[in-house]
Amino acid sequence: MKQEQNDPIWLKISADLDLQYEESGRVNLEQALHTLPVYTAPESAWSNIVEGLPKKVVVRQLTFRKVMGIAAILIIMIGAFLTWQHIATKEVPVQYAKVEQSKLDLHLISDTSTQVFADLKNAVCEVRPGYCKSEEFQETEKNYQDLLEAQQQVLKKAAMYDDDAQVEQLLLHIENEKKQIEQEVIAQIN
Amino acid sequence: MSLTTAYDSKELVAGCIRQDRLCQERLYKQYKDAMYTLCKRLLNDDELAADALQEGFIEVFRSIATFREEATLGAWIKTIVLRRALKINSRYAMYEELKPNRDDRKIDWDSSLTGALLAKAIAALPAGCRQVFVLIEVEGYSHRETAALIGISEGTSKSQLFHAKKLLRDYLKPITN
Repeated sequence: MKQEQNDPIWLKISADLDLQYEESGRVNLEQALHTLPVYTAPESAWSNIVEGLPKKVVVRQLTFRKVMGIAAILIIMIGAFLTWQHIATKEVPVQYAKVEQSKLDLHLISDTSTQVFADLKNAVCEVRPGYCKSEEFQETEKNYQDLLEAQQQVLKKAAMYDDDAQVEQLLLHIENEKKQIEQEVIAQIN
Repeated sequence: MSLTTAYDSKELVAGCIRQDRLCQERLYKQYKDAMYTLCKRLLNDDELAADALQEGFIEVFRSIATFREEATLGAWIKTIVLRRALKINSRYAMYEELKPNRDDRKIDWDSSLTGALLAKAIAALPAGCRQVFVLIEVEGYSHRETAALIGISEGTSKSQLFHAKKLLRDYLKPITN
């Protein structure tokens, strides 16, 4: 292009081209040029552009409310999952947990119970030696020993698990049974 | 003033560099109609104009990090979209060799000429001389710039412009008189 501009022959041709036509009413053309219609881009163009652009998700700053919302959803989901797991397996996951104070109390009661029943036996044998040697008393003593053994087993297992209402219920039930037997023996003494 | 034009161009550019879709859409909306009009005038075809617009804006968003404020954002976008349109037009543009006719060199633009009539006449022009006319008369480029953009000589640009004007004169003569 530069060579063309410096070439004297080209300069002559160029000048000739400029003089090639005479233009009149130029102002009318310019007015028309200023009022040329403007076209509207089709609606589909933007979606086509987006398809052609690299896929990138803009990471926006998380607000406190959004973080709290996400945390709440996660807690609900984890809770629902654990509940479902508990119901589905019907087994308490084995965990090492501290034994609750109430269970320790029951353990103490269980240890002293053996002594309590021994005292009751001595008393009943002294007052009613016939009853003391009867099959009925031996059956009562066996039942009491079975309850004590069951109580020991439950307490042993309970020490390995977290708090469990069902275990508590079972221990109370055993304790009530024991108390009932003790009452029956006391009734024989009286 | 619309919401999109009220947006600061620096913010838009920064957003587009981060590939923020919202900023890209705002930028597109700001220039889409002007760029589509340019493409439509050059290509005289809705589908080709839409193609040029889409390809042009994809290039704009991909290379926006290279934008320097030596030119305005609008001028920078226009250059990219224009090159796309010209590339598409190069498949159709033919430049006839014109023989100068000394007896036919008078062009008179009638006062009844309107924008709508002129648009119709431009649409009827062959692809080659139409793009020269649009670039020089409508967009205001010089012959030298036009020649560089299209990849023709300055002389071809001048003769094509003259040819376009003669064709427009012939097209408009029965309508405007």
